[in-house]
Amino acid sequence: MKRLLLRGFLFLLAAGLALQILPWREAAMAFASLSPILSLLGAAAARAATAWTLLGLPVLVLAFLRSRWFCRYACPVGLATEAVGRLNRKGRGRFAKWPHLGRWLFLLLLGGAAAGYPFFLWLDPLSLFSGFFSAWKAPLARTSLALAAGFPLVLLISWIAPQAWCHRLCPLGAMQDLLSIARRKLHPAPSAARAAGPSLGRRAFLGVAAGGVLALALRRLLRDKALPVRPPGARPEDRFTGLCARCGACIRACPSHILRPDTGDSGLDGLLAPVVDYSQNHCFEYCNECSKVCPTGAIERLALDAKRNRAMGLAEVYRGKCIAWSYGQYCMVCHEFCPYLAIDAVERRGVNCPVVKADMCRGCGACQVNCPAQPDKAIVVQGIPQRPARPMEDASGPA
Amino acid sequence: MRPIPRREFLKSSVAIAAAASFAPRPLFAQASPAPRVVAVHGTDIALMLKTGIEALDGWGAFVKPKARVTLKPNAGWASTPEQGANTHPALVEECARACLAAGAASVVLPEKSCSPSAKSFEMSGIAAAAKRAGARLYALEDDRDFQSVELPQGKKLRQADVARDVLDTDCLINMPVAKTHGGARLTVGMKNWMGSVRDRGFWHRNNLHQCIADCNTLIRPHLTIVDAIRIMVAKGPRGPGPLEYPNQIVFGTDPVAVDAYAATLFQMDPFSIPYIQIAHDMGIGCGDLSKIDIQHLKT
Repeated sequence: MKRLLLRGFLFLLAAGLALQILPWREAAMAFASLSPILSLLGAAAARAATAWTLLGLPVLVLAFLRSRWFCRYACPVGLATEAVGRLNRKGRGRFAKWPHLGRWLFLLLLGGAAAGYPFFLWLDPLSLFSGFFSAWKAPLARTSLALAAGFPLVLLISWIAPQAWCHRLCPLGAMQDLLSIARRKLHPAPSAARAAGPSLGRRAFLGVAAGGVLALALRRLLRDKALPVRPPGARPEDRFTGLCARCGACIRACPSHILRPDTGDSGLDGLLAPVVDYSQNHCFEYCNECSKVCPTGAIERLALDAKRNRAMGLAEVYRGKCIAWSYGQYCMVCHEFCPYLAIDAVERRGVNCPVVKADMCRGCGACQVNCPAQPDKAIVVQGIPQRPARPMEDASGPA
Repeated sequence: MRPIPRREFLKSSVAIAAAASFAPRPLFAQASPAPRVVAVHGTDIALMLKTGIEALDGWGAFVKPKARVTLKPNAGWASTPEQGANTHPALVEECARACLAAGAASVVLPEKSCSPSAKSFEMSGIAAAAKRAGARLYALEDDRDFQSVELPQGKKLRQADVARDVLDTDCLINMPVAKTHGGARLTVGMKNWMGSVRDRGFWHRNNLHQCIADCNTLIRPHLTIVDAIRIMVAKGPRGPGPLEYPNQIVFGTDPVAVDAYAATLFQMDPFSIPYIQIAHDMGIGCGDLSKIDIQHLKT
C-alpha cells in the first residue's frame, strides 16, 4: 500500500514536471534526468556533462544494489503499464516467449553513446512519458501528437502482452537487469550464477561493438546533409539527431512556440527532433528556456549571454522578392526588428536596402517573421553549423 | 473649439450624430498664422511637462472634465528607458497623472508593439508608469480593439483598421520618442500612429511615406508631446544605437510642425524626410521651419 502511494505520487510529480507547471524551468528536466540512459549516456555521447548529469547516478547505483528498484518504486510508465496489464488476464505470461530485445537495445545504445550517436535514446521510458505531454501544446497540435504517441503505444503493447514492455523491451529496465546480473556474477549466490548464462560477457561485447560501429557509420552519413535550423545550443547535426530523445521538453518550454517536431524534412534521422519554424514568431533575444530543459544535453545548457551570442542560423536576403531591392520601397523592417544589429543598409537610388552582416546574424528569425514582402518572405533564415557570433559590444558606434 | 473631424469617418451612427453636433470646420484649416512648437529644455521631467503645457494655455485647453483621454506613447520595443527606443516612462506617468488631475474620467494607452507586448511594456517601464498613474496600458491584439475606417483623403492608404480608442476619444495625445529609423529615416509623431493600426505591412509595400501622411489625414491628435530627452541618432528605431542628449520635451498641436522641429535635433532638413514633405504638401500641417513659431523655454 505504501509502495502504491509512493508510485502514485511520483507519477503525478512526473506528469506535473513534464507539463512544466513550475516556474523553475529546470525542474522539467529533473525527473527525466533520473534515467541514467538520458543523463549519463547523453552526457557521454555529447562529451559534455553538467551538474544535472549526476541525477542519473542514484538509479544506477540502486540498480546495482536492488534489482529493478526504479521500476518498482518510481517509474511512471511502469505504474501505467502494470495497471493496463491487469485488464487483460488472458494475456498474462504471454511476454515470457518474447526475446530480451531491451538488453540488445541497451547494449547498442551503450556502444552508440561511446561513439557519439546514441540511437534508441528515444525509447527511454521517461522520454516517452515526457513526450506524451506534448499533446497539450496548443498551436502545433498535429505534429505534437506524433511525439505523444509513444506512451500510448507502450500501453497498447502492455495490454496485448502484459509486462512485455517492462521485461522485454524497455532499455532502462534491461539496463537494471544487466546490472543485477553483473552483481550476481561478482558476488555469486550459489544458485543464481548459472541462471544468468555464461555468455553474457561475449554478448555484451558484441552488442556494444556493433552499436559503436553503427554509430560511427551513421555519423559519417550525416556529415553532408542539408541543415535545418535547430534550437540554440543544439549539438552538431551528426550528434544531435542521435542525442535528442524526442521528449518534447524544449518544444513545450519555448514561449514563442517556434519549435516543432520535425516531420521528416531534415531526413529520417531527424524525425520528430525539434526544428525551428519562423512562420509565426521568432527566437526572443531574452530567452534561453529550451536550453534549460534538455535531459540528454542534445541542446547544450547556454546561459542567456552565451545564447545571445550563438548563431543558430543565418538570414539570407532574396533581392528578387525584397520590396526595397526590387521595388524601390522604403521598408527596412528586417533592420528595424533585428535585435542584434545584423542588418546593414545599402542606399540604392535614394532608398535603403538590406544586407545581412553574417558575423552578427544569430538566425533568430525576427527579420523573417516580420518581413512584409508578399507572397514569399524576402529574408529567410538558413540552417548552419552553430557557431559563436560576434558580440554586440563590438558593433557599437554609428552605423 | 477643437477639430474632431475624424468622427465623420466613424461608421457608428452614434458617433456620426455626435460629430454633427459640433460646428464643422475645414479639415486642414489655414488656422492660426503660424503653428507653435514649444521646446522645453531641462532635466526635471514633471516640471518640463508643466512648463510646456502652460505655454499652450494649460491642461484645460485639452482635457475637459470627464473627458476620456487616449495617450499614444511609443512602447514598441523590449528595450530599457536609457536606450531611447521607447517614450520615457516618467514622461508617460506624469502626463497620465496630469490628465487625471485635470479632470479626465479615464486615461488609456493602446499600443501595438513590435517586440512581444508584455516584454515591451515591462522593459520600457511604461507598464509600471501607467499603473502608478492610474492609467490603462493595453496591447492592441484583439479584433475588437480595432475599427475598420475609410481614409477619403488618403492617396495610398484608403482603408485601415485603427485602434478604437484612438478614433473615438475626447482627447488624443501623441507621445512619441524621437529617433532615427532605417526605413523612414526619422520617426517622431506622425509615424508613431503605425503603433495604432493593425496591418503595417501594407504601408511598407505601398509607399511608406505616403501611407504615413495618409494616416495623419485621419488621426488628428489634439496635442503632440515628443520625448527628445535622449535621441537615438543611428541604428534606430530599435537600437541599441548611439545616443545624444538634447534634454528637451517638445510640444505642439500641429503634428507636421512638431516633426519638422524634431528633425533639426538630428541635423536633418525636415523636407529631406519624405513624409514631412508629403504631409506639408497635402496641407496636414506645416513642415516649413521658417513658418513655424518655435519657442524655447528653460526650466
